[in-house]
Amino acid sequence: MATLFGSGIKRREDPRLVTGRATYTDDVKLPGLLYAAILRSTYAHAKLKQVDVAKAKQAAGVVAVYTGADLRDKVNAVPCAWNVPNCDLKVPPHPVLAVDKVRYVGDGIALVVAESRAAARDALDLIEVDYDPLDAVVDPERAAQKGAPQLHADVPNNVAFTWKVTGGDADKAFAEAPVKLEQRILQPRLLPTAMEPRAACASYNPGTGQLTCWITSQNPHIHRFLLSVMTKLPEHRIRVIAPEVGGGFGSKIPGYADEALVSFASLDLGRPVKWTEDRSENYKVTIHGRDHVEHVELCGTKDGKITGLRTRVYAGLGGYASTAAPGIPTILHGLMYSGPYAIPNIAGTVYGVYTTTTPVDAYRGAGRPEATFLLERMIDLYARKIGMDPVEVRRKNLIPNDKFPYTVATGITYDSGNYQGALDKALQMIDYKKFRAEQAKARKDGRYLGIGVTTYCEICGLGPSQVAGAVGFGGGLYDSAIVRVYPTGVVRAYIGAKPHGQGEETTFAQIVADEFGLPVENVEVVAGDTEATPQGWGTYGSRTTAVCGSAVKVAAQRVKAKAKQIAAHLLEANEADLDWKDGKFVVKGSPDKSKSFGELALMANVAWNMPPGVEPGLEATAFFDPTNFVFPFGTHICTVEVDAETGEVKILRYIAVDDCGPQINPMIVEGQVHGGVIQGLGEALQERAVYDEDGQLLTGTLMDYAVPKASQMPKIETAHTVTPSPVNPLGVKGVGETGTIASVPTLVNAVCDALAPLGVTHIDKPLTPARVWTAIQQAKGGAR
Amino acid sequence: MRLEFSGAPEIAAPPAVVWQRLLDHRFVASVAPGVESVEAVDDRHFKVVSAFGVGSVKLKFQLDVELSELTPPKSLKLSARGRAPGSGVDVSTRLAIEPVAPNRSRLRWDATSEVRGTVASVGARLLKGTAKQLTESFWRKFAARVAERSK
Amino acid sequence: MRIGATTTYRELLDSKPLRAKYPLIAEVTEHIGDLQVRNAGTIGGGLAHADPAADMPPVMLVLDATFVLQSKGGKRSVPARKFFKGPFTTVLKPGELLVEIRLPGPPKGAGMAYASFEQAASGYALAGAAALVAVAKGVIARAELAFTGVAETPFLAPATKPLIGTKGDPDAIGRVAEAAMAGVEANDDIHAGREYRLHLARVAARRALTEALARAT
Ligand SMILES: Cc1cc2nc3c(=O)[nH]c(=O)nc-3n(C[C@H](O)[C@H](O)[C@H](O)COP(=O)(O)OP(=O)(O)OC[C@H]3O[C@@H](n4cnc5c(N)ncnc54)[C@H](O)[C@@H]3O)c2cc1C
Repeated sequence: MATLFGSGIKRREDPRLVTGRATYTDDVKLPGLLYAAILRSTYAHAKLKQVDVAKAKQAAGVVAVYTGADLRDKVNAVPCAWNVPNCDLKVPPHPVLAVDKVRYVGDGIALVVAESRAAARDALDLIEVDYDPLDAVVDPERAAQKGAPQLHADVPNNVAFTWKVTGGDADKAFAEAPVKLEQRILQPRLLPTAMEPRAACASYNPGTGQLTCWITSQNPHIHRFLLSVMTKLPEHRIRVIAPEVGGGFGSKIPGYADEALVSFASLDLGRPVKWTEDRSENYKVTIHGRDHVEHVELCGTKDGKITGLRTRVYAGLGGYASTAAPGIPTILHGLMYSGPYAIPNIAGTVYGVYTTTTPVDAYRGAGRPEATFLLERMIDLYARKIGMDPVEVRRKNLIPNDKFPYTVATGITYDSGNYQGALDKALQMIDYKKFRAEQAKARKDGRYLGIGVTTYCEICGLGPSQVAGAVGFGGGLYDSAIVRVYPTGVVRAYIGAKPHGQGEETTFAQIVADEFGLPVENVEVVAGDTEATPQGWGTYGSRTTAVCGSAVKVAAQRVKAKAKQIAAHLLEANEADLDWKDGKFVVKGSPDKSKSFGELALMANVAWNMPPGVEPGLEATAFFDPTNFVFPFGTHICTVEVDAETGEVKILRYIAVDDCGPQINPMIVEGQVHGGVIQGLGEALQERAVYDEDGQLLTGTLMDYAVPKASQMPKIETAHTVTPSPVNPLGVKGVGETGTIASVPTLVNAVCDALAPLGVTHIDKPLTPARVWTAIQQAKGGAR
Repeated sequence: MRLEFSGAPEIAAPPAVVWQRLLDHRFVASVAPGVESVEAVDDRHFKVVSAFGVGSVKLKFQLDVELSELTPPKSLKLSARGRAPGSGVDVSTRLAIEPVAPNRSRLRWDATSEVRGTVASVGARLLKGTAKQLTESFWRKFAARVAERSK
Repeated sequence: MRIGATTTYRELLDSKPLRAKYPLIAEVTEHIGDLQVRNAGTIGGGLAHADPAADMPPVMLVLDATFVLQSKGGKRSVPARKFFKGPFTTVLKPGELLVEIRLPGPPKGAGMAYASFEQAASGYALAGAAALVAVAKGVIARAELAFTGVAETPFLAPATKPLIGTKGDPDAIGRVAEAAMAGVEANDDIHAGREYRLHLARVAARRALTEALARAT
């Protein structure tokens, strides 16, 4: 039988999604449902003198109105759950509704619960808030300077943490190096634009004392725990259901005040309460991504050997520390400073800084795109400075294939790799030499062609729980699966992760069906309900297949081992004498003596004739905890033509060669690469959240925040190399974030390469025509 | 989002008349854009409800208006603090009246507005032009009507 | 030719006579919004809305259209060139509707073109220029140029005269494009600063005039 592993079957999720038959959180309708609306600060930074809700309480349809003062003793603060050690982390309280101060435009001030959504929203206008405005501070570097407006009483200079990573002796390397360069690099703030905004619907049953909360969640078990902390209800009385989730990109990992507020209201009122964001609220309240100001230095030899990297990074955290925020610019960023290269000396300092803006947390790639960007940008600048081809510089510094597992200067150990292989393949696809010749010719004609090459590796498949504990992550990072075989031989796998667009309902079914020799239709994958699924840690960090998929595999193997025991018993043979063939256990040498998986499923479930000491039933649970992270890698290449007159960038070709190990479903892998690359090109070319100096978000709608559209994006040519990971039974690595990690520097380097003859060395993202044109004017020594 | 506009229309009326009009809240309301109601709290404080649109966004503002720093008939400050759904606005306008010729004056106005919340975040493309137009046409209309009435 | 105000963009695109006589209208319409917007949006709605960056107004200006406005009190005709008063503001009075767009027959052999630069998020023009160029006896007999996105309203460039009677060499076109921005108070926002917008407007003007000339017969 042909294996399903490796076959690009269609995603089973799609029919319901594209025909509008999926059930999202906002689709949940319950008898007696009430609707919540939240009054949000219009000031970025202000003292709250008075919040007068008297009129709102009187309004038609309004059931209850709560302020921060009302909830102070009833609902606990929103916790931060990644307490990175050894960095003097300061996490000031983040009340679910502001009590005495607001710290960003969108900070919650009051909760209205009403009989209809319209009544709840209308009542917001009746609440009178007396603010005492304070100065705002938006830029994380400026916020960390003396004299900047202070957000929290016990956080001097707004510095939440000072985290350092060192390996080798960077200062010595810089002192001795013949070539040194530095660059200030900005990673603008981005708005994770999941198609479905966030929502929460809470239903407390006073009879049973149980709270059920539907949440747009990438990790329902984490949300159950966070809800328990905030509502003070014990965890075993909370059920979190994440129904269909329409994308997250990290923004649906954190715990938010919103789900605690509806849960509290349901507890207080004894009726179900629902809240759903619109896009404007989403852009103001749901976490943002990136927001770094980076000072980067690189040193090396004249012939292209990198000897040191130093960074000083100001990472904006927004008004409060979101759930995973401290870990993103540190563990997931600074530890990756070596990239795919052997850089012997590294010293990085990252300041986490509170600013009067929406909190920042994980956004697709989370820390790694920022690390890859700064490194790849510096390598191109270095290559230009020493007059060497940027591809040759990369080749010279890549970790050789025979050195894996390889421990980089930052202390982490890469599992496996074939960096040269991916580079060679990508260069061959683009025909690098030929392009360079075309470019030289075009330059003579006054046309500006450019090429950007990124060799990257990233850390994902999060991760070993012991390491999670050591780096302060407030949970485990194993994952889990129950594989349950029904009497009729069909199967359900209940998983701890929560796919929300990545396609694991399909790929995990492929894993299980292969194990049992079943058609893929006979396997269902169930996720997202804490009542049904075992403890897991969610879908993010490109971890679901490597970790939870491995749990599925192990559980299926356990089921199969039990089936084999039963088969041996029924066939009166030794287990050692059984072969697994075409979905049956067959006695060696007696092809007519066999038991199919279906027969064994029935016999196990009816238990009429079990082997002595073997329990009835056919199911198994597995908790898989990997021994290391996985490190996917690859090479992306982009060629562009820049219209020097207008600054417009046209992408000529985009090539992505990624190695995520063996591919369970190549079509899904390709889809992940496409989505990631396009999201990254959006970051590189046009996306940027803009605050004015008063902390007002000026890009509050899709008319001003430029999420890429299909018509703006190039065709993407994908290819792969296959290097299995030794750290999980599937050999797989992650592929959910490679696109956003690799594509951003690829595009920016291509544009800077195109404009090299004009003297342009660096342009800050996003490379809008206006910025490219301005950079050209500046390089020409012209006007602004 | 901060917006700053200014102007200095000439008015065919003497400073004393312009001054009187500036203090006449009914008169001011009659030329202001979209005013639905004005209620005088005292002769320096007013509550105004005003509705107008920024592109496709239509908004109803509730404004608290205050007159201060009065130096008759030369200058005063007009401050308004208002809110609309999810939004807030503060406008501070300095006004100075100068005689330019017999029976003519120049009204110098200097308005600084701070727009907050939803309006600021949906309005990046639309707000500046609309606010400028609203403010300028208000003072233009004011100048014209003062002249008309003093004929 | 007369176009009813409630004609959708889709209907404009589907009209053969319109395409034959005013190909520029079809060309510009293709760039408005997306399929859904074009299926539902109307030319009258777009013009009455008077978005300062909308694509159709400058086309109406170069074609010298006349708008028929109607209220209970009666009908009046207003030249497109006097219709736009400010951002989202027109001469329409409360209770008045734009009912019809009247287009004079284009000059014989006229070429028309539109060049614009879109803001990535909204698709509205950061700067756009529409041009009409008519050629007679080998020299330019008429040249019209109008802009959108640049200032508070779409506007007609006053100074295309230097092109009349010339063959429209690139330098002359460049000078007219340059002159068209003299004294223009350009918009300045998070998407494009004043200087860049002016620059784009000049480039758009040059490209539109050059293309219109190339299309003139
Ligand atoms: C996603 C999106 C993208 C867009 N992109 C572009 C673009 O790239 N370029 C561009 O130019 N435009 C663009 N538009 C705007 C589009 O052209 C207008 O929305 C459309 O033309 C408006 O037409 P409508 O028939 O829907 O008018 P409505 O939206 O119904 O009306 C608009 C306004 O005009 C008034 N009005 C309508 N008809 C009349 C009339 N006959 N007389 C008097 N007043 C009237 C209405 O009361 C309302 O105030 C876009 C719009 C959207 C939603």
